[in-house]
Amino acid sequence: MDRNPAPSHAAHDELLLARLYGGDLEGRELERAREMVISCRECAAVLADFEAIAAATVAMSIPPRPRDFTIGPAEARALRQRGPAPKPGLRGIVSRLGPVRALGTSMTAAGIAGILALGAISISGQTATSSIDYRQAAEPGGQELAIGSPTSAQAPNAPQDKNGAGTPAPSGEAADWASADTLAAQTPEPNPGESGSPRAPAADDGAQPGASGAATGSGYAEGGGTGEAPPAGQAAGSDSGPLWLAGFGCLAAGGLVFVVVPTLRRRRSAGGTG
Amino acid sequence: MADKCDAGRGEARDPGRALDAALVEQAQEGSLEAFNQLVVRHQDHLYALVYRLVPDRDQAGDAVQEALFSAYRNLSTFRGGSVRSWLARIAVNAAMDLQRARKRRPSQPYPELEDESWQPAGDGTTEPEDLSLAGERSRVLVAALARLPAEQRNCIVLFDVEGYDYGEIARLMGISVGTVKSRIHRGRVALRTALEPMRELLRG
Repeated sequence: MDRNPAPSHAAHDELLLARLYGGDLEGRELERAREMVISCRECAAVLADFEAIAAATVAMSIPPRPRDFTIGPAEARALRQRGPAPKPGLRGIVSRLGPVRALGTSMTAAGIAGILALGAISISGQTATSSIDYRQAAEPGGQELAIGSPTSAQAPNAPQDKNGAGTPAPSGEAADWASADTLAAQTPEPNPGESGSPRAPAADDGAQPGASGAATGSGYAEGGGTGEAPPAGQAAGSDSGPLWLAGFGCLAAGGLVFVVVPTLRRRRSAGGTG
Repeated sequence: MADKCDAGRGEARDPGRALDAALVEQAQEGSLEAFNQLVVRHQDHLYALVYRLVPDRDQAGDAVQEALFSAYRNLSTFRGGSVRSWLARIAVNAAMDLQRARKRRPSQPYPELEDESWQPAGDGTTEPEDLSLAGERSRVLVAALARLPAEQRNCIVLFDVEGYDYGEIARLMGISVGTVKSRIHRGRVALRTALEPMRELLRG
């Protein structure tokens, strides 16, 4: 064994030689590998090593097995009672839990997932709304305030939150609300000429894309609004009543299955023994 | 080398298939004795296979026992073919379950690597020196195999020792043929690097 291989061998790819040994090369790669083995003694030695290691692995002596693995009658009886191993996947779950409990499990899981998702959406909606409020508070010109709330437009220096409560914000903080700016960039721009002029017709509001939240009187465009779409989270929040209901319904139904099925089983078995 | 790519290499080495098939049939009808005859016929092979994958005597024994329990429970699912391969597949799965469990709960290295208490049995004609060399070679090899990532070790053992082809290994392990090839080649290179200082011993 050459402990210091020739410098040219250092550039040779041992993985290519392993692939050659495995018979997995063809075309130009095969030619290159063969050339390496012919022209480089170290490469030839690597190939011989692969051969020797594979042969030694096959011939490897194995310690005596620690015991006899035959199955006794008692074990066989227990194994027969357990029956075949459960199938993988959905069929496995159903056969393991039984159809009713599998349904209960999936309903509970769907309910929990739905409630968590709705919770996350409403939290992000609230964050977005409060960011907009702060941006409005920090806006010096008051134009944004006029867009969001006609009440604010009347008193630009006394910014109000969506509930009408005055929330003065120091103007120096304006630069810190980068998230509000980002959100504002994503918020649809109002139609030209609408800013600062509260609009009454509800039919127009309904026609505005994404204005359903305002039309339901969520307070965002209270007092007529301007047709500006509320943040997505808030829109989802106002429309998500049935979804919440469905989530809790799934959870309740799933939980009920888990309570009812064992009770019924207990009663049945009690009736059987009694 | 080329013959390594032939399909079904594992099955080509399967003697006594007819007897196995008859025993399985009897076992499926409820004969425990027939099943135990199968166990006696294949337990050494299964233990040797699992020991190469899980280089610890006791753990390999547990995996083989689990595999045979599983085979007994699932006799009804045997749909013909090689009983040896069927049992080997179950044993490999049991070994992989054990490896996964070890991965989740990393503990001591395989204790067998430190154990030098056993020597391979001689056939009476073997020189004591050769016997000692064979024992040393096996110990070195087991240690090097144990240091390989389990995925690479499994592929190499199944390919080199069990004679499975790439497709069979891929199906058994639930991975692609390309991944099997890659694991085997990388494993070979890693094994060679680990064994380089003992090259003369291996070439014996």
